[in-house]
This record gives sequence, structure tokens and C-alpha cells, in this order.
Amino acid sequence: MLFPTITFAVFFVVVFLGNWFLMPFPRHWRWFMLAASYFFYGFWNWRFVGLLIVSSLANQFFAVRIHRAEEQSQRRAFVAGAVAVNLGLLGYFKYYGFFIESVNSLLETMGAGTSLPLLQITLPVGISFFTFQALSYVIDIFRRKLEPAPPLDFAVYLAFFPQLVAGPIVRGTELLPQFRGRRDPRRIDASRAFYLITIGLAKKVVIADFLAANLADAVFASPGQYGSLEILVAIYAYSVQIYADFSAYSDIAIGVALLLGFRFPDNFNAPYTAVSIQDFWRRWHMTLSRWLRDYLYIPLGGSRGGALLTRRNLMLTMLLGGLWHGAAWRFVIWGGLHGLWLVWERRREERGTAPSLATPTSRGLARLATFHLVSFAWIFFRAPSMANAWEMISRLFTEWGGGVDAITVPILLAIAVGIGAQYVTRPAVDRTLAGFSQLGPVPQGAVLAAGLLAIDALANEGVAAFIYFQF
Amino acid sequence: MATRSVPPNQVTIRPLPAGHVLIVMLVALLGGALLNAQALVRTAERRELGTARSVALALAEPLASVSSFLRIDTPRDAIDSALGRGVPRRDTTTVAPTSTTTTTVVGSGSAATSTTTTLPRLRAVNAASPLDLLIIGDSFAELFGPALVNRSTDTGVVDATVDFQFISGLSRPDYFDWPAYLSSELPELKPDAVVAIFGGNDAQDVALSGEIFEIGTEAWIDLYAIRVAEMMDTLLESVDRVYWVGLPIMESERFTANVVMMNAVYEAEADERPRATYVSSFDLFKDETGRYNAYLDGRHMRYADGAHFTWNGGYRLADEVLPIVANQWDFQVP
Repeated sequence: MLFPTITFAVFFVVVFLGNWFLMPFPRHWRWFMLAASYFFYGFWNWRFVGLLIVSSLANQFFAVRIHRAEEQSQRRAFVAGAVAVNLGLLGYFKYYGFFIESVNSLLETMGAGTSLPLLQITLPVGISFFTFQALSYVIDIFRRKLEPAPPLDFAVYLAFFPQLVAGPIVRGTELLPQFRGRRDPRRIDASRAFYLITIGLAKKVVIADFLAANLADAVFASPGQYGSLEILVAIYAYSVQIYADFSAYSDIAIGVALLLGFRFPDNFNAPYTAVSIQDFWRRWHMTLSRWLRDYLYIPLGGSRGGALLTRRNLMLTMLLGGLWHGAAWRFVIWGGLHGLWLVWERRREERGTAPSLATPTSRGLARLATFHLVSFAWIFFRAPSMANAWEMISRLFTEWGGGVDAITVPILLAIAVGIGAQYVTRPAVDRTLAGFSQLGPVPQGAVLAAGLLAIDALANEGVAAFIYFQF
Repeated sequence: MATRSVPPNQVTIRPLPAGHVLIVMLVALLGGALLNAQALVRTAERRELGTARSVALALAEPLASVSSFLRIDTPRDAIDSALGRGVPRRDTTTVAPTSTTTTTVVGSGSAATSTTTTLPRLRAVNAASPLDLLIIGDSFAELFGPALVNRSTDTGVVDATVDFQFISGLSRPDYFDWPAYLSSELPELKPDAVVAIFGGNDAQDVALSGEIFEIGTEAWIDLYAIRVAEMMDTLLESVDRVYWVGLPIMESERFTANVVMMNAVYEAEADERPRATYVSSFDLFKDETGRYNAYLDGRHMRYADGAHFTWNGGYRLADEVLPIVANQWDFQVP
């Protein structure tokens, strides 16, 4: 079920009513929310609800075993088992084809006449997200930061529909206590929720889908048809598209959760205002960044083992982070580029050669440079093949005499709005929300209806799936 | 009791009670539905015939009536006009079959059928005067189209462009009218040849002049043949050659049966037009056992929906189509 659809709107009104009416009856509330979440997930493919149930049962089994084990060796064995099961499921559904194709390609190169069998495996929507949530749960129990939740609580946590398919990656330590606490139906942070949902819808259907349909998709598919300037603008367009698309899902998810009385962590904080790659990763997909930091980078040793080991850990983290995004070498290169730049920035810091950001000009230049580095890496992320990525890069520098027909004023406007909106400050938004919150329910509804009019009228016909669903 | 001091520049966002929030949501949804009522009707009309479409229309049409009566749809109309939107409708009764004559369904062939023997010589194509090739279709052209563009670019003598429309087809001109669209586009684009691939959304019942044409019946096949013929004739009025690509075998047996039926229509209509060539893709996507397989030659060809091409699939088909075009226009494929 996609967020920007009438189906979801009807579904959510029903869930909203059930959520608040059943709140005084915690057990009924849990069963209701679990059923609603499975229904939401099953709308894509009912078979995968079974996978979600299996994942819930398996992880709860390991969580309880880890908690009850008295010996550290037993605890280690159980957490290793949990990691193996989770990564095994993820590997089978997401990486089997990639692995076998890579091995077969290698065998072919070596002249071996054999090839491993390829299976037709459908990738369950959102498996990367709920697998990471499950891993954080069992690892936090292993680290004694969390106690096993009742099985029903854990099942609701893993399947909770607002963040199930594309994040934010909410940890058990953040959400499970909220299930046990009492939410106040008289004090819903609804103004912010409506703002996030409306902005999210606009970003998705007006900005992201428009840029994809009118420039980015075509140029990345057939770069040989376009000149350097068109390719450059298409890269900018994709930078804005992926931000608008992915942050839109997070905005809507956070807004929907707020209306149900739950707080999710922020996932984006104006990433294209970043002054360095390190700063970018503090602002982009923040819940993934901190997951990788806490469950991969730090266990690898973090920055505790000296400069060389720190660089190795950074590179490994970013390479695996790249692979998490997609089963293709292009994603590994994307992660590797970010890893290299992070290593480079850290080296400059260690040597004291990092540029000063004291003046507005230096900060502006740093933002410009960071945006272009990030945009360059997006080429590998978006291109359908390595050949296309190299062709994009090659033509970016060699076809300045080429056409500009594909660049239109609405495209430039959408790019400008997508980047410019990130400079709108939180206090400015809060002032608007404060004014909105003082209105009565009918004027508030009318304002939102006007927003729906504008969004639907400016949208492309039909709704494309969110980019991050495939991850 | 201690009170928390609020900084002078800090604003207060008033939390709202659940009942208030529910009213806001209902007003917003109802208001949004009324403001966008005509678009809701259009969306409902595009759905396949069936219960879901009937329910959607039963909900959307009264809203549209109220919206129109109260002039609530005026802002949306104004925006649509300003953006040049709004789908022109045509009277589709003009293409309805007038008799119940039967059409013989023949099996889908696996080889390209060339019909150029008695035709005048095509112009020479070269780097200075490349072949203008337009690739059109539904979502099956999404990746096949760019793949063919990329392969065409490699020849150095073909200038190819893609114009595909998601969820479009030939069964439902009330949703997207390809012949009408092309009649306005082709004089501007002036391509030499067109590669067309359709059918992904066409295997559905069709309502026409109050009559339901059920998929698979002879009446449906007759109607579909008229639509395909109209499309080919529209194209051939403006271009020298049309290459009509049939659909590949599908994972679903039911869809495959419909594909065989539609491919037979494409092939038969192309055979009747000397400047049209039918290119079969059906066998090209079978595995060594003669069945559907998402992987062929160790590569991923079809998406998880069991129908659409991946990039590998798009290139596999492009490599089948381009030599046929090259053979007729006398250029080399690298």
C-alpha cells in the first residue's frame, strides 16, 4: 500500500480510530495494530507476511535465549545465531542473484564451463529495513541495553506499518517503551504531523516524480543522446529526486506515527546544506548512519585502533553500507567513494589542513563542493549499469557542444525548490505551525484540502513507488 | 508550583485532541476529494472493468456532480487549463466492429516476417543523414526503448528516441488515445520508422456503446484488430516503416494465453501492410525447456512481476529488433 493513495487515506482513518479507541485496552490495541500492519504489508504480497512472522518468531527466540543465558559464550553463540539467521534471510532474498551472477561471470572469465543455478526469487518489500531493526533488537539485548519485550510487543514493533517498508530505522529502545507508556489522546502533535505528511506528499509527487519522468530517467537510461549540460542538470535532478523521494517517505512515516501518538527519530536534516561528507552523513538517512556506526563501525574497532585501522573501519562500513542499498557493484562503488572521501577528510583533520569554515564564503564553497561530490557519487547509485555510469561521466566532460533541449524551466525550478527548501529554518516552520495550530478544525481541514488540490493538480498522473522500497 | 519560562522568540504549537484531529482529517479528505473530483473520476475510469472500478466510479461520480454543481471544481479546472492538461475524449463507437465476422487466431511465430519485396527503395542512411527511429509503447518499452536507443546510437547512423506511456495501450482509447496522440506528434517529429510494442495492459474487457467485449471472445479479437489496424495505419501515414514487436512469453499462463492471442492479431495486421513488419519476441524469452524463465543465459531478464523486461531483457530484445531494421535500411550493426 503506497502512502500517496486514497486506499491508504481510508486505511489510515480506520487505523486512527482503532488506535485511540483501543488505547485503554493494551492487549486489544496490540492485536489490532499487528493486524493493521500485516494488512498494510500484505497489500503488496500476502506471502511475505509469513516471512515477517517467521522473522518475528526467530528473533524473539534468540532474544529470550540471549537474555536467559548465563555464560557469556552462550550469549555470544545465540547472538551469532541471530545475526546469521537475519543476514541469511537478507542474503537469500536480496543477494542470491547478485552472488550467483558474479560467481558465474568469474567462472566464465576463468574459462570454467560450469555455472551455478539461478533461482527466481522475489525481493520482499522493506526486508533490509525490518532486518536491521530486528538485528538492533537482539544486539541491544546482548549488550544489556534492552530486555526482551513480550512477544506481541516485539511483533508489533517489527511490523509497525508507518516505518515498515522504508524506515526510519527505529530501534527497540526507542519504540518499545512507547508501546508500554500511556499516550495522551488530548495532546497529539497534529500540526507538525499534518505539515510532515503534506510536505512529504508534495516532495514525492510534485518534485521527485516530476524530475524522474521529465529528465532523470531518460538521461540515465540513454546518456548517449544528451549533451554535457543536459547530463549535468540530470545529475542535479537525480540528487534532488532521491532526496525528495526518500525524505518524503520518512516525513510521511514520522507524521503518521505522530498522529498515532508515537515519536520516531528524524531521518533527514537538510543534507544538501552539509559542509563536508562527514556532515552529510549526519544529515542523510540519519537512522541508517547511526545503525552502521553502532552495529558495524564501532564493533569493528571504530577509531580506537589508530589511524590505519580507523580508515579500514570507515571504508568497510561504507562499502557494506553501499551493498545494503542494492545488490550490484555500482552500490559498492557508491559506498566506496563516500568511504574514500570520509578517510580523506579525517586525514586532513588529523594533519590540521582542513579548511576553515569561519566565513560565509568558505561555508558556501564547502557546501557547493560537498553537494557536487555527493551528486557525483549518485551517478553510480542511479545508473542502470556500470557502462551507463561511465558514459554519463565521459559525456559530462566531452559533449559541451551537445544539446540543451531536455532542460526546461520547470525542471530548473523543481531543482531550485528542492535545494532551496533545505535552507528554510526550523523556527520559520514552527512559527507557521503555531499559527496553524490555533485554527479551528474546519479551517485546518480546509487548508489541508487546498494543499491536496495543489499536490494532485501538479502531480504526474499515477504514483510511482518510492525509490527506497527496493532496498 | 514551578512554571517553565519560555524564551521570548519561542513559539508554542498547540497540541490537538484526537476528536479535533479526526475532524481535520475528514474535512481535508472530503474537501480534497471534492476539489479533485473530476480527476478522481478520470482515475476510476482508467481502472480495468470490474467490481473495483464500479465501486470507485460509484463513489467518485456523485462527488463530481456535487463538486460541479457547487463549482468547487473550478480551481482544479483552472490549474488543469493553465498546465494544458485534460484528456480529450473521442467517440470510440466509430471503431466498433460492425459485424460478428470471425478472425482466425494463428500461432505466434518465432521469426521476423519481412514484407518488403515489392516496396520502393528506402533512402540511404548515414552519419550525416541518420535514420530517425521512434520507439513507442506501454511499460514494456520502458527499458526495451532505451536499450534500443543505446544500441542504435552505437551504429552511428540511427537517431532514436523513446516515447512510452505507462499503463497505456490500445484497448482503452478512452484512457489514452494513441492514434490521436500520434496524429499530432508525428508531423512534428517526422521519424523515418517506428518500433512499437503494446499489449501489456490490453488484455482486459472493454466497454463500448453499452456493450461489454469480454477478453478472449471473437468479438473482442475483432475489436482489438480494428484498434491495431487503426494504429498501424496512423503510423504508416507518416513513416516509411513500422516494426511491430510482439510480446514475450509471460510467467502467468493466463497472461501468456492472452499474449498469444494478441500477437496473432499484430502478426495478421502487419502481414496485410507491406510496410509493416512483425517481430516476434515470444520464443526469444523461453528457456531451453521452452518455458518462461526470468533468467536466460545466466542473466536476469524479467522482473519479479513475471512480465516486464530488466535491462538485460531490454537489450536481448533490442539485439533482435535492430538487425531487422538494419537489414531493411541497409546499415551495419556493430
